[in-house]
Amino acid sequence: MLREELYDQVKKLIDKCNRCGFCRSVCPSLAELGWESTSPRGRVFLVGEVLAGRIPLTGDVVSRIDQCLLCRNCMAVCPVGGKIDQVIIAFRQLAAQEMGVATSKKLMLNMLSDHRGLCDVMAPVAAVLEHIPFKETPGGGAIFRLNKKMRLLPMFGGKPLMSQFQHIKVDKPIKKVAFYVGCYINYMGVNVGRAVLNILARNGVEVVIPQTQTCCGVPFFASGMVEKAVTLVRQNIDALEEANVDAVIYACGSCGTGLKEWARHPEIGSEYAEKAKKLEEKTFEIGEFLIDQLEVKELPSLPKPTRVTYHDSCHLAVGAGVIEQPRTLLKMMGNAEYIEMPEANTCCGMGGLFSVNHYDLSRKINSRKIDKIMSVNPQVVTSGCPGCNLHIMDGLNKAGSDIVTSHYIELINNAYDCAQE
Amino acid sequence: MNWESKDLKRELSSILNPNQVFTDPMELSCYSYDTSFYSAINPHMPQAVVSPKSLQDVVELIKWAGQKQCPIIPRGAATGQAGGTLAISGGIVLDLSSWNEIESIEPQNKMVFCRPGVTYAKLNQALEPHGLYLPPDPSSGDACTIGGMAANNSSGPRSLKHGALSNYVLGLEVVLGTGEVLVTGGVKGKVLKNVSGLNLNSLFLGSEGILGIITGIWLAVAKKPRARAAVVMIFDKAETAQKASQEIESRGVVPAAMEFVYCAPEATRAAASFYEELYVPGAEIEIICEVDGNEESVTWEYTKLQEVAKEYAQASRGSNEPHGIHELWEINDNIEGFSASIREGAKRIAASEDVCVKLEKLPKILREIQLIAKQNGIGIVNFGHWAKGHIHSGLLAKVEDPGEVDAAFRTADEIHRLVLQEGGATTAEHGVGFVRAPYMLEEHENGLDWMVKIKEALDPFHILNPGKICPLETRKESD
Repeated sequence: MLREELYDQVKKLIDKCNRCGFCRSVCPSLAELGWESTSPRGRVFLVGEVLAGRIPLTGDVVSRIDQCLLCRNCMAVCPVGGKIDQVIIAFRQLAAQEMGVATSKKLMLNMLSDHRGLCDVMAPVAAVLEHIPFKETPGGGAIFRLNKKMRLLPMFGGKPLMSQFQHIKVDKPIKKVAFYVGCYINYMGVNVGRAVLNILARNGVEVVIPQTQTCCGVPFFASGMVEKAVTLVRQNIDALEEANVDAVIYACGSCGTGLKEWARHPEIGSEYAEKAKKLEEKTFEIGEFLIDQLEVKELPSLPKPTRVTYHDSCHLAVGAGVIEQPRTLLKMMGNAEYIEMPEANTCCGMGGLFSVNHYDLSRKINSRKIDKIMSVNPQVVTSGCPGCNLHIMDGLNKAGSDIVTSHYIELINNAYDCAQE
Repeated sequence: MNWESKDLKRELSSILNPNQVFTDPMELSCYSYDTSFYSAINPHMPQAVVSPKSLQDVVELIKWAGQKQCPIIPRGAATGQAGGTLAISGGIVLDLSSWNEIESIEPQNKMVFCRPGVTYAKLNQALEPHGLYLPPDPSSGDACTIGGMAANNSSGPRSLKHGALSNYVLGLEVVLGTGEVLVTGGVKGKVLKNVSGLNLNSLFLGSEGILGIITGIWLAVAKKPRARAAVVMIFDKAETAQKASQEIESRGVVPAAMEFVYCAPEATRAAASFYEELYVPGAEIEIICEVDGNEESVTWEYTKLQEVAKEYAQASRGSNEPHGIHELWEINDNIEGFSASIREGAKRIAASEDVCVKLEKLPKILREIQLIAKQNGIGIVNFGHWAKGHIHSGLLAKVEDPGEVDAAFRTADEIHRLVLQEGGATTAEHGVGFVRAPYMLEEHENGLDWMVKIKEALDPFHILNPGKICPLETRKESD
C-alpha cells in the first residue's frame, strides 16, 4: 500500500487525538523511558508527521514506534476513543514496506504461517532435545544450563495439541464449541490446551479443534506484515465458520483479542468482515464461557490450601474485557485463598515480539510487575495469557522467587483432576 | 542568539548526562505541542529538550542558560491548555516528568515531599495505604504532574469544598533565574500553619514557570472522607438551576462539588444517553452535586439534596454508594461523547475554556457565550464548576476547514472579551500561558507592571518561560 493510501486510512484516527495526555498515565514504555516520543500521544503525533512527510522515516522513528507494546492500555483511557493500535500498525506497515522486516523476525513468523507442518514434526523432537541445553522449571520454563542469567524460554510441549486432539465427544452435549488453540498453546502450552478440553468436557461440552486453523495474525499485524496477516485471518475465519458450532473458545489473551477484532481490519474485505462479526458474537475466552454462558456455580477444591493471585493480561482485560470471570473462578475453588495484587492490570512487559526486540526494556517493565506480585506473597500467580505467564516466570526466576506461574485454567484443571482421584 | 550553536548537544551534555539531552528534530517535534488548540495549529519546536533528575542538574542548567540568555521552558505532562509549556521563542524544554520521586510521606504529620514529575494519581496511590489523599483533584489527575499543578495552582471539581492546591502547599523548592535555590515556607522545617513572613508560596503557585523552576513540593494531605453521595439534576433553565443551588446551600448542605453541562436546548442528552429517566426535552442544563464527609452527615445532606432536586429539577437521580456515584459522574466526564453527539464530525477544542464570572451573571453569560459560537458558525458545549461561576467552553469546530479554525479563534477571543467586560476572569484554573497573555493588560492594568517587576527581580536574564503570563514586550508596547 502506498504511503498516501496509508495516510488516508489513518489520518482521521490521528487527527482525532486532542493531545490531552491522559494516555501518558498508563503507558508501560513511557514509565520506563520518560520522553514524550515514547508516549502514546507522542507516537501518534510522530506517525502523523512521518506519513505527512514532515519528518523522514528513519531508524530512530521506527525504534520509537517499535517501543510500543500494543498493550492498548492507552486506548482504555483515551477520552476520544482513539484507535491507537491501528495508527501504530499502519506505521509499522509503512516501515515494513519501505525499510523491510528484520530477517530473524520474518523467519520466525513465517514458520508459524507457512511451515506449520514442519513445526508439527519438529516440536516433539525439540521437546526431547531441549533438555540437553535447558533445565525445566516447575512452571514449565526453560533455563539455559550454561548461563542461568539468560532469558527463560518456553519448553516445547511434545506432540502439538492439535495433533493430539481433533474432536472431544461427550454424552448428550449441552453445547458444541470449537477451540481456537493458538500457536503458543499448540506447541508450548499444551497443558493449558489439555486443561481447557478437560474442563469443557467435564461440563458437558463437545469440542472440535478445526485442523485448518492457523496463527491468529496478531504478530503479523504488529510487525506491519499486514498482507500475510490478512491471509491468516481469512484462513481462520473459514476454518471456524466451517466448524458450525455454538461458540468459539480461546485461552490466550492475545489470540483472543485478534479473533474478536478481525472485523476491524478493512484489508480482509467486506465479505470476510461480515463473517468475522458473526464469529465475534460467539467467541468467548474460556473463563468468560464458563461463567457467562455455562453459568458454572461451583468448582472442586484444590488438593491443599494455596494462596493465589491473578494478573490481568492487557489484551484479555483491555482488548476483550475479560476481567472478573477468571477471578470468580479462582475464588470458587475450595482451598484457594485468592489475594488481589496491587495494580493487577498493569502490563507485564511481554508484548509478544516486543520482548524479543526490546528485552532490556521489557525486563524493566516486568520488574515493576514482579514487585507487585511479590508484595502479596502468593504461592501461585496466574493469568489468562501464556505469553504473560512466560514473562512473569522469567521475572520471578531472575528475582530468585519460588512463586509458581500458571495459566489460571490449569490450576482449575488441577482441582478437577484431584476431585477425580 | 549565542546559545544556538551547532554544539548545543555537546554543550548541554557537559552539564547533564548525555542521555538526558536530545537535540534531534524527531524528538524535539514531540515537544512542540501541549493540549491547546493553538499548538495544534501553530507548533513551536524547542532547540533542545533535557530531562533533569536532580536539583544540581537544574541549577547548573539555569546558570548556563543565564549566561547565554537561553529560554528555559519547564514542562510536566503538557496537559495544559494554554500553551504554557510551548517554546514560543525557542529555547530548551525541561521535561521534568521523569523526576518523579515521592521522597517522604509523614502520615503522622499529614504531609509529603515530592519531586515535580510525580503525577497526582501516583501520589494518591502512595497515600492510599495511610488513608490519606491530596484533595484538589484536577480532572486530568491521572496524567498531570504535581509540579504542573503547583505551577498552575490547579483545583478541579472538589475545590468547591476542599480548596485549590494553594491550600495544601506548605513549601516549595525553587530554582530562580539566577540559579539561586529558594526554599519557601521556612527552611527549618514545614508545619501545617505558618504566617511567618510574606507568603512566597503564593508567589510561585500559578506562576507557570516564569519566576522559577519548581523542583520540590511539600504538601499537606488530608484524611479521605468516609462517605459520599451525589445527585444529578436536569433543569429546564439555568435560572432554575441557580435557584436550586442557592437552596442547597440555604438548607445547610456544603457541597464538595457542583458541576454542570450547559447546552441549550439539548443538555438533557448528556444525561439521557445514560439514564432514560433523565430525559427532559428542551432542558438547558444538567448539574451533579456531590457531598462527602462521615456517614451520618452525608446521609443528612443526601436527603436535603434529594428534597431540593424534587422541588426544583425536572428530573433527577441520586446514589450514595461508590459504584452508583461513579456511574453518575460518567455523565459529566463524558464531555467528549456528548460533544460528538452535538456536532457530528467536529472536534472539541480548548481555546477559551476557562473563564470565571460572578454567580449572578452565570445564566446570562452562558447564553451569550452560546450565541457567540452560533454567530461564528461553530458548535459549543459549556461545562464546568457551577457554584464557582467557572465555565469551560468546548468549541466544536471542523478543524480541517480553515474557515472554522479562524471562527474558533474568533469565538475564543470574543468570549474572553465578553467576560472581561462583565467583570470576570479569563482563567480560573488552567492558567494564562501564551494564549491568554494578550488579555492580561486589560485584566490587570498596573497590576501587570508589578508582575513584570517581580519577574525581572527573580529572572533578571529573562530566560524563564518567556512570553507567558506577562510578556515583557506586552507592557512596553502599551507604554
